Amino acid sequence: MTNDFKYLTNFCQSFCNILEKYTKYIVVSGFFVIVSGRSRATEDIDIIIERFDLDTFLKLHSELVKNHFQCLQSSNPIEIHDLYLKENIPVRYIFNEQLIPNVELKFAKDKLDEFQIKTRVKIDFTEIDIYFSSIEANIAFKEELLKSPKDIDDAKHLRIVYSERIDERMIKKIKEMIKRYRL
Amino acid sequence: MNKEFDFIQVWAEEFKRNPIKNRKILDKFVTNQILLAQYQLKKLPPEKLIQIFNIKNETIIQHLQEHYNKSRNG
Repeated sequence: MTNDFKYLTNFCQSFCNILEKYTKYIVVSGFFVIVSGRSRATEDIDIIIERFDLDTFLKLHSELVKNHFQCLQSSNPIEIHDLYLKENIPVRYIFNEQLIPNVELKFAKDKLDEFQIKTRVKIDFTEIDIYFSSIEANIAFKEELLKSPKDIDDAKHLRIVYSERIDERMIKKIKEMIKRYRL
Repeated sequence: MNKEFDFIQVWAEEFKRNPIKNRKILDKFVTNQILLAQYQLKKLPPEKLIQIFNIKNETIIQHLQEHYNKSRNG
Protein backbone atom coordinates (compact mmCIF):
# COMPACT_ATOMS: atom_id res chain seq x y z
CA MET A 1 0.00 0.00 0.00
CA THR A 2 2.97 2.34 0.42
CA ASN A 3 4.12 1.97 -3.18
CA ASP A 4 1.79 4.60 -4.55
CA PHE A 5 0.57 7.98 -3.42
CA LYS A 6 -2.98 6.93 -2.62
CA TYR A 7 -2.23 5.43 0.77
CA LEU A 8 -5.16 6.97 2.63
CA THR A 9 -7.77 6.39 -0.07
CA ASN A 10 -6.69 2.77 -0.58
CA PHE A 11 -6.88 2.15 3.15
CA CYS A 12 -10.37 3.64 3.36
CA GLN A 13 -11.64 1.89 0.22
CA SER A 14 -10.49 -1.53 1.50
CA PHE A 15 -12.23 -1.03 4.85
CA CYS A 16 -15.47 0.26 3.29
CA ASN A 17 -15.61 -2.57 0.74
CA ILE A 18 -15.84 -5.00 3.67
CA LEU A 19 -18.27 -2.84 5.68
CA GLU A 20 -20.65 -2.56 2.74
CA LYS A 21 -21.31 -6.31 2.81
CA TYR A 22 -22.75 -6.13 6.33
CA THR A 23 -24.25 -2.71 6.96
CA LYS A 24 -24.89 0.80 5.72
CA TYR A 25 -22.08 3.20 6.56
CA ILE A 26 -21.03 6.79 6.04
CA VAL A 27 -17.58 8.36 6.04
CA VAL A 28 -17.77 11.79 7.64
CA SER A 29 -15.70 14.90 8.34
CA GLY A 30 -11.91 15.14 7.72
CA PHE A 31 -11.44 12.40 5.15
CA PHE A 32 -14.33 13.72 3.04
CA VAL A 33 -12.78 17.18 3.06
CA ILE A 34 -9.37 15.84 2.03
CA VAL A 35 -10.68 13.82 -0.92
CA SER A 36 -12.56 16.97 -1.88
CA GLY A 37 -9.19 18.65 -2.30
CA ARG A 38 -8.39 20.29 1.04
CA SER A 39 -4.64 20.19 1.68
CA ARG A 40 -4.40 19.09 5.27
CA ALA A 41 -3.28 16.00 7.13
CA THR A 42 -5.47 13.48 8.90
CA GLU A 43 -4.60 10.34 10.79
CA ASP A 44 -8.04 8.85 11.21
CA ILE A 45 -11.12 8.20 9.15
CA ASP A 46 -14.46 8.63 10.94
CA ILE A 47 -17.14 6.13 9.99
CA ILE A 48 -20.69 5.81 11.33
CA ILE A 49 -22.56 2.54 10.76
CA GLU A 50 -26.16 1.43 11.14
CA ARG A 51 -26.72 -0.45 14.37
CA PHE A 52 -26.79 -4.24 14.02
CA ASP A 53 -26.75 -7.35 16.17
CA LEU A 54 -23.81 -9.27 17.57
CA ASP A 55 -24.01 -12.06 14.99
CA THR A 56 -23.56 -9.61 12.14
CA PHE A 57 -20.67 -7.95 13.95
CA LEU A 58 -18.93 -11.30 14.47
CA LYS A 59 -19.02 -11.89 10.71
CA LEU A 60 -17.85 -8.36 9.94
CA HIS A 61 -14.99 -8.48 12.45
CA SER A 62 -13.89 -11.88 11.20
CA GLU A 63 -13.63 -10.62 7.62
CA LEU A 64 -11.78 -7.50 8.74
CA VAL A 65 -9.23 -9.62 10.62
CA LYS A 66 -8.87 -11.94 7.63
CA ASN A 67 -7.94 -8.83 5.63
CA HIS A 68 -5.27 -7.70 8.12
CA PHE A 69 -7.33 -5.15 10.06
CA GLN A 70 -7.04 -5.20 13.85
CA CYS A 71 -9.05 -3.44 16.53
CA LEU A 72 -6.94 -1.41 18.97
CA GLN A 73 -9.36 -1.88 21.86
CA SER A 74 -9.60 -5.68 21.87
CA SER A 75 -9.11 -8.80 19.81
CA ASN A 76 -12.33 -10.24 21.21
CA PRO A 77 -15.26 -9.30 18.95
CA ILE A 78 -17.87 -9.88 21.67
CA GLU A 79 -16.03 -7.41 23.88
CA ILE A 80 -15.73 -4.89 21.02
CA HIS A 81 -19.46 -5.12 20.36
CA ASP A 82 -20.80 -5.25 23.91
CA LEU A 83 -18.41 -2.94 25.77
CA TYR A 84 -17.81 -0.39 23.05
CA LEU A 85 -20.06 -0.18 19.98
CA LYS A 86 -23.30 -1.08 21.76
CA GLU A 87 -22.51 1.53 24.42
CA ASN A 88 -21.86 4.19 21.76
CA ILE A 89 -18.11 4.18 22.43
CA PRO A 90 -16.05 4.30 19.20
CA VAL A 91 -13.38 1.71 18.40
CA ARG A 92 -10.35 2.03 16.16
CA TYR A 93 -9.17 -0.37 13.48
CA ILE A 94 -5.66 -0.34 12.04
CA PHE A 95 -4.16 -2.11 9.02
CA ASN A 96 -1.06 -4.31 9.04
CA GLU A 97 -0.04 -3.23 12.57
CA GLN A 98 0.46 0.41 11.54
CA LEU A 99 -1.19 2.73 14.08
CA ILE A 100 -1.67 5.42 11.44
CA PRO A 101 -3.92 5.74 9.53
CA ASN A 102 -6.81 4.22 11.46
CA VAL A 103 -10.57 4.02 11.22
CA GLU A 104 -12.71 5.33 14.07
CA LEU A 105 -15.88 3.25 13.90
CA LYS A 106 -19.11 3.92 15.78
CA PHE A 107 -22.78 2.99 15.74
CA ALA A 108 -25.38 5.58 14.72
CA LYS A 109 -26.50 7.00 18.05
CA ASP A 110 -29.52 9.17 17.31
CA LYS A 111 -31.99 10.37 14.67
CA LEU A 112 -29.39 12.75 13.28
CA ASP A 113 -26.94 9.92 12.54
CA GLU A 114 -29.79 7.86 11.08
CA PHE A 115 -30.77 10.82 8.87
CA GLN A 116 -27.18 11.14 7.66
CA ILE A 117 -27.06 7.44 6.75
CA LYS A 118 -30.43 7.68 5.01
CA THR A 119 -29.22 10.61 2.89
CA ARG A 120 -25.73 9.23 2.22
CA VAL A 121 -24.12 9.88 -1.17
CA LYS A 122 -21.30 8.85 -3.43
CA ILE A 123 -19.53 11.84 -4.97
CA ASP A 124 -17.72 11.43 -8.30
CA PHE A 125 -15.54 14.48 -7.66
CA THR A 126 -13.79 12.67 -4.77
CA GLU A 127 -12.67 9.85 -7.13
CA ILE A 128 -13.33 7.23 -4.47
CA ASP A 129 -16.20 4.75 -4.59
CA ILE A 130 -17.51 4.99 -1.04
CA TYR A 131 -20.50 6.54 0.74
CA PHE A 132 -20.20 9.89 2.50
CA SER A 133 -22.64 11.86 4.58
CA SER A 134 -24.03 14.59 2.34
CA ILE A 135 -22.01 17.70 1.51
CA GLU A 136 -24.68 19.71 3.35
CA ALA A 137 -24.35 17.55 6.50
CA ASN A 138 -20.57 17.94 6.54
CA ILE A 139 -20.85 21.72 6.22
CA ALA A 140 -23.60 21.94 8.85
CA PHE A 141 -21.65 19.90 11.43
CA LYS A 142 -18.51 21.93 10.92
CA GLU A 143 -20.27 25.30 11.08
CA GLU A 144 -22.84 24.54 13.79
CA LEU A 145 -21.30 21.92 16.10
CA LEU A 146 -17.53 21.49 15.71
CA LYS A 147 -16.59 25.13 14.99
CA SER A 148 -12.78 24.91 15.51
CA PRO A 149 -10.71 27.09 13.13
CA LYS A 150 -9.82 23.91 11.19
CA ASP A 151 -13.50 22.98 10.87
CA ILE A 152 -14.48 26.46 9.72
CA ASP A 153 -11.72 26.31 7.07
CA ASP A 154 -12.95 22.84 6.04
CA ALA A 155 -16.49 24.15 5.62
CA LYS A 156 -15.22 27.10 3.60
CA HIS A 157 -13.30 24.76 1.29
CA LEU A 158 -16.39 22.58 0.76
CA ARG A 159 -18.56 25.62 0.04
CA ILE A 160 -16.17 26.73 -2.73
CA VAL A 161 -15.52 23.34 -4.30
CA TYR A 162 -19.18 22.29 -4.33
CA SER A 163 -20.71 25.78 -4.77
CA GLU A 164 -22.98 24.74 -7.68
CA ARG A 165 -24.59 21.80 -5.91
CA ILE A 166 -25.02 22.91 -2.30
CA ASP A 167 -28.61 23.08 -1.02
CA GLU A 168 -28.68 25.90 1.55
CA ARG A 169 -32.16 24.90 2.78
CA MET A 170 -30.81 21.44 3.58
CA ILE A 171 -27.85 22.91 5.50
CA LYS A 172 -30.34 24.98 7.51
CA LYS A 173 -32.49 21.93 8.19
CA ILE A 174 -29.50 19.89 9.41
CA LYS A 175 -28.33 22.77 11.61
CA GLU A 176 -31.78 22.77 13.21
CA MET A 177 -31.47 19.02 13.81
CA ILE A 178 -28.03 19.54 15.36
CA LYS A 179 -29.54 22.11 17.75
CA ARG A 180 -32.31 19.65 18.66
CA TYR A 181 -30.21 16.50 19.13
CA ARG A 182 -26.69 17.61 19.99
CA LEU A 183 -26.65 21.07 21.61
CA MET B 1 2.83 37.01 4.08
CA ASN B 2 0.18 39.30 2.70
CA LYS B 3 -2.64 39.40 5.25
CA GLU B 4 -5.15 39.69 2.42
CA PHE B 5 -4.01 36.37 0.95
CA ASP B 6 -6.68 33.77 1.60
CA PHE B 7 -4.96 30.41 1.14
CA ILE B 8 -8.14 28.36 1.66
CA GLN B 9 -10.00 30.23 -1.08
CA VAL B 10 -7.10 30.33 -3.54
CA TRP B 11 -6.34 26.62 -3.18
CA ALA B 12 -10.02 25.54 -3.25
CA GLU B 13 -10.58 27.49 -6.48
CA GLU B 14 -7.36 26.13 -7.99
CA PHE B 15 -8.27 22.55 -7.01
CA LYS B 16 -11.71 22.92 -8.51
CA ARG B 17 -10.25 24.35 -11.74
CA ASN B 18 -7.79 21.50 -12.24
CA PRO B 19 -8.66 18.53 -10.01
CA ILE B 20 -6.72 15.89 -11.96
CA LYS B 21 -3.34 17.62 -11.72
CA ASN B 22 -3.90 18.93 -8.21
CA ARG B 23 -5.15 15.62 -6.82
CA LYS B 24 -1.79 14.05 -7.71
CA ILE B 25 -0.01 16.75 -5.68
CA LEU B 26 -2.49 16.35 -2.83
CA ASP B 27 -2.17 12.53 -2.73
CA LYS B 28 1.61 12.85 -2.46
CA PHE B 29 1.28 15.39 0.36
CA VAL B 30 -1.22 13.29 2.34
CA THR B 31 0.75 10.06 1.87
CA ASN B 32 4.02 11.70 2.90
CA GLN B 33 2.36 13.13 6.03
CA ILE B 34 1.25 9.61 6.99
CA LEU B 35 4.63 8.03 6.29
CA LEU B 36 6.32 10.72 8.38
CA ALA B 37 3.88 10.18 11.25
CA GLN B 38 4.46 6.40 11.07
CA TYR B 39 8.23 6.97 11.22
CA GLN B 40 7.88 9.27 14.22
CA LEU B 41 5.62 6.84 16.06
CA LYS B 42 8.20 4.05 15.70
CA LYS B 43 10.55 6.12 17.86
CA LEU B 44 8.10 6.30 20.76
CA PRO B 45 8.11 3.76 23.61
CA PRO B 46 5.12 1.37 23.67
CA GLU B 47 3.71 2.85 26.91
CA LYS B 48 3.35 6.20 25.19
CA LEU B 49 1.62 4.67 22.15
CA ILE B 50 -0.72 2.66 24.36
CA GLN B 51 -1.68 5.88 26.11
CA ILE B 52 -2.09 7.98 22.95
CA PHE B 53 -4.22 5.42 21.08
CA ASN B 54 -5.96 3.86 24.10
CA ILE B 55 -4.69 0.42 23.03
CA LYS B 56 -6.10 -2.50 25.00
CA ASN B 57 -5.59 -5.29 22.47
CA GLU B 58 -2.91 -7.51 24.06
CA THR B 59 -1.71 -8.86 20.70
CA ILE B 60 -0.97 -5.35 19.46
CA ILE B 61 0.68 -4.36 22.76
CA GLN B 62 2.95 -7.41 22.56
CA HIS B 63 3.84 -6.59 18.96
CA LEU B 64 4.70 -2.98 19.88
CA GLN B 65 6.91 -4.15 22.74
CA GLU B 66 8.76 -6.67 20.56
CA HIS B 67 9.24 -4.15 17.77
CA TYR B 68 10.55 -1.50 20.17
CA ASN B 69 12.99 -3.92 21.86
CA LYS B 70 14.24 -5.08 18.47
CA SER B 71 14.82 -1.53 17.23
CA ARG B 72 16.74 -0.62 20.42
CA ASN B 73 18.94 -3.71 20.22
CA GLY B 74 19.49 -3.42 16.47
